[in-house]
Amino acid sequence: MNTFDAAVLARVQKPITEANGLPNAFYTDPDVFEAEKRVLFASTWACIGFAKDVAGPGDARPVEFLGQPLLVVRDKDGTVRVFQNVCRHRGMILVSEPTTLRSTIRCPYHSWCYNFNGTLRTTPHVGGPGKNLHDAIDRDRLGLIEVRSHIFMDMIFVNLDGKAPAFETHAAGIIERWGEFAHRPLFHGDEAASFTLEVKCNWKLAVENYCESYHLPWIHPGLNSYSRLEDHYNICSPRHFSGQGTTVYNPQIDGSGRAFSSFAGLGEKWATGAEYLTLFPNVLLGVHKDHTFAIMLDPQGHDRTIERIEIYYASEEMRGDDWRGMREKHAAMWKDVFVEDVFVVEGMHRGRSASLFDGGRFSPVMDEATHCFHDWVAGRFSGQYGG
Amino acid sequence: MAESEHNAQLQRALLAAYAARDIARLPGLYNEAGLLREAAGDIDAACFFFTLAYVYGLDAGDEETASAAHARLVAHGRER
Repeated sequence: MNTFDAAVLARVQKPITEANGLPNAFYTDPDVFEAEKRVLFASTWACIGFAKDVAGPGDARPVEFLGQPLLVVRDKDGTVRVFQNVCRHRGMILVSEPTTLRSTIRCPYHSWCYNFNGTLRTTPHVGGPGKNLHDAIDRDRLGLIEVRSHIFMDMIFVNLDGKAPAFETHAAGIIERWGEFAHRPLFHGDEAASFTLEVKCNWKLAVENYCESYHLPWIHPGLNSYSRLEDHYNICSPRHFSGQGTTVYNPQIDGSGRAFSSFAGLGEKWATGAEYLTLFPNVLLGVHKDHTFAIMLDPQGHDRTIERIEIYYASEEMRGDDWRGMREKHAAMWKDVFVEDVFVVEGMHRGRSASLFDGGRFSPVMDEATHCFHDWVAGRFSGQYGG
Repeated sequence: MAESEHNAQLQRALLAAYAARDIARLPGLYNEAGLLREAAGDIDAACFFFTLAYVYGLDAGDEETASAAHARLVAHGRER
């Protein structure tokens, strides 16, 4: 079967009552994964990390994302920029591990130095020993290669090909839907609120599992007592995001009655509600009255994905030592939930080696969000949605 | 102190700083080496050392030494 055959993609994009899921090759074929890097990631806005990891002036963090060496740097004025992590001279990797730079980004090879805004500051001995200028070396044209970036809810998004619509346009729907969370400071819970899972599955299966609530009573029975299936609803914004919401969010973290403080000024909907969305392609987000979380999917190949989970709270106070125990219990609670999903996404991945499997049939009622995601993937590969 | 002895002393100090990975010491030592060569009229050698003082000064956050070395390089037409 030709993965890119228009008829195959059209079948995925049919109404949910008739559609098949994406064909196996989208999960098992390394060539398709290579194509996805361009069609689904480089030409859209993908999350590469979190601004809290470059919290102070001069903080620099190398990031390898889909094989691209990138460098995240916070300037002295607080601006966070993303560059290709290579010197304009010989292509040497500039920064190999997280660090705090003092005054410059110095290439470890011939010591070409760049300012934190990427401009080329000096080119030692470029015209011979002790001669740092040469007519052929125009410093104004040899700054670091900056990658278009945008920070949203502390996530660092990049548009690698530089051609996508502005992030505010790309994410307009979620920014509007979650305006009460999107335009306020979020307070990361430090190491107690940060963990990573490595799963043996294609990254899209993590998206698919996250955005539907159909599986909750079977895979997460612990939620049944206070967050029942019938309390959930589907959320679909074609081409941009999909997921689920619940009308019953009732935090029970340690049974002590102690509760994290809530974000100020939230609307009534959030008093008992919570929502969980995938912003295509690779961030899984959750918002609640007292915390948000983000899961960055970092594909390591067609069959392996790293999930980076970061939890944020409503106030600086929640970051304090006296809340550390609560934060640890909270992170452990979420980790338990996400670990419960691992056998499912890994099982679906192995299942995609079944040569006669046709991509599957959707529940017309319960799988709307998954179908919405598949429609986006197929639409981008067909050229219907750009890319 | 004789110039050759000063040179030798600087050389030892530089090697010790490298051995100890004491990058913070390098800008000052290289600037000193640059001034020594400048006083001797060897501008190419002086600017070689000033360049190292400038770069390591930037790297180590020693803005004062970096700025001083940069000024000497600009004065000699080696930097802008």
